[in-house]
Amino acid sequence: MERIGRHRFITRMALGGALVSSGIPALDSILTDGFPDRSSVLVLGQSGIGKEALGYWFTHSGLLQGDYCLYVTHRPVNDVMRDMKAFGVPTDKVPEWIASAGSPTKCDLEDFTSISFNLKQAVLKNADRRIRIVTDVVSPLLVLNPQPTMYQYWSRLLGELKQSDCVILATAEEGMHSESTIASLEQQFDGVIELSLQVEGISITPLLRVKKMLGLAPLHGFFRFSVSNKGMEVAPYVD
Amino acid sequence: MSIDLWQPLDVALILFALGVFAFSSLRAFEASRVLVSRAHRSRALGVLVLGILTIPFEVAVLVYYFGPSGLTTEYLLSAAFAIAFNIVAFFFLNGTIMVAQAMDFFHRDTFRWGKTNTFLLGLLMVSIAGTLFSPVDGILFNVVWIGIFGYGAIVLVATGLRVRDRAMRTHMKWIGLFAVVLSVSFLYRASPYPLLLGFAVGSIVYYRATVSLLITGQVTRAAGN
Repeated sequence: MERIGRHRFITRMALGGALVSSGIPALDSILTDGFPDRSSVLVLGQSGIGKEALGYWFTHSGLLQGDYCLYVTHRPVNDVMRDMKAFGVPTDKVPEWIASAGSPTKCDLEDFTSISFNLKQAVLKNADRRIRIVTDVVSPLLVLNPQPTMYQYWSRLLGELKQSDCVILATAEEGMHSESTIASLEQQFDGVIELSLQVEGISITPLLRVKKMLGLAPLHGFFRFSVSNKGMEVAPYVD
Repeated sequence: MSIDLWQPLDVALILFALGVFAFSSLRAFEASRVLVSRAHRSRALGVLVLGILTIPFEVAVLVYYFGPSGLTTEYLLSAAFAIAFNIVAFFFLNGTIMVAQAMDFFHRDTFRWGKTNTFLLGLLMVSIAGTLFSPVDGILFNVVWIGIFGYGAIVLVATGLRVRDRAMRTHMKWIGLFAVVLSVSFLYRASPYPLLLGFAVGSIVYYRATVSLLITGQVTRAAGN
C-alpha cells in the first residue's frame, strides 16, 4: 500500500506541477497530497449531501496559505456564509465573491457571458498569485441553457483559466441532469469526485469516490465520509 | 360509533398504516443524519416530526371513533392531536414551500404564498378555535382546513415544478399529495372508514415523500473495493 502511494506520488511529481491541498487532510492523503495544480475538479452528488463542504474547506485552506480565492455562486453571500459556519469552517477570512446578492460583482444566471468575463477579469488581476476558484453555477447554467452551448462554454472557460496558476473546484447536482449530460460533464474536468448514499439495511451511509484525477492512476474503492460542524471526515469503507 | 374495531380489515389497515409511518419516520431520521444542507436536513426533520406526531394522532382518533361513545377525555385527546397535527402540518407545508422558492433559481413567489401565509395561519387558528368553542358544526371548519391545505398543496406542487433538483421536486409532489389525502379523509365523518383508508393511503404517500429525499444506490463490485 505504501509502495503504491510512493509510486503515485513520484508519478505525480513527475508531472512537474505542485499539488494544492484540498483543505481536508484525509482527502489529501487519498489524493497523495492534494489536487494537481492548473486543474479543474468536479464534485458530483445529489443535492444536500455536502458537496459544498469540499468547496468551503478548499477555499479556507487557500485563504490560510495566502492564495487568491474566488467563490462564484448562484446563492446570496449570506446564505453561503451561514452554511460555512454550520460546517465549522472559520469565516474570519473570506474569499472574493461573485454571488446572486451581497457581492459587488453579481452572478447573473441569465447572462453566462458576464460570469465568464468577471471570472477571467479577477484571474487576470491576480495573475501573480496562486488562484483557487470554487463554483456551484455549473448545474444551473446547464439547466437553463442548451447542452452543446454549455459544453463549449465550460470547455473554453476551463482551458483559459488553467493558463494561470489556478485550480477550479466545481460542484454539480446529480439529480438535475441525465446520465449522458453527467458523462459529458465529467469529460471536461481533470478530476471527478463522486458523493453518493449507500443503503445498508435500515441505515444509510454517505460514500466518497475519486472517479478520476489528473496524474493519478485510477482509484478503485469507496470512502465513508461525514460532514459536521467539526469538519469533514473521510475514512476507508469496507464493503 | 357502532363499528367493531376488531374486524380483520380494520385491524389490518391500522397496523399497516402504523407500521409504514414508523418505518418512514426511521428513514426520515436517517435522511436528517446524512443530508447536511440546511434545506434538506430541515425537510427531513420536518417529515420526522410529522410522522412521529401522526402515530399518536392516529391512535387518538381511532380511540375516539371506536371507543365507548361520549367520553370527554377521548374527544379532548383526539382534538388536541388534531390541532397539534394541523399546526405542525401547516408550518411544515409553509417551510417546504419556502425551501422550494429558495431552490428555484429565480426565487419566484408562486401564487403569492409569501404574502398570504400569515393570513392563512391566522385563518387556521380561528378555525381551530371555532372547532372547539363554536356551536356551529365542526365540519364547516374542516372545510376551511381543507381549503388552506388544498391551496398549500397546489402552491407546493407548482413551486416544486420550478425546482430543477429531481429529489426535491419529487419530494414536494408527494408532500402536496399527503396534505390532500389527509385533508380529504377528514371531510367525511359519518364513518371512520374513509379516515382509516386515508391513514393507510396517507402512510404510503408519506413513505414515498420520505424516501424521495434520498437518491440511494448500491456499491457495485466493479466500482467498489
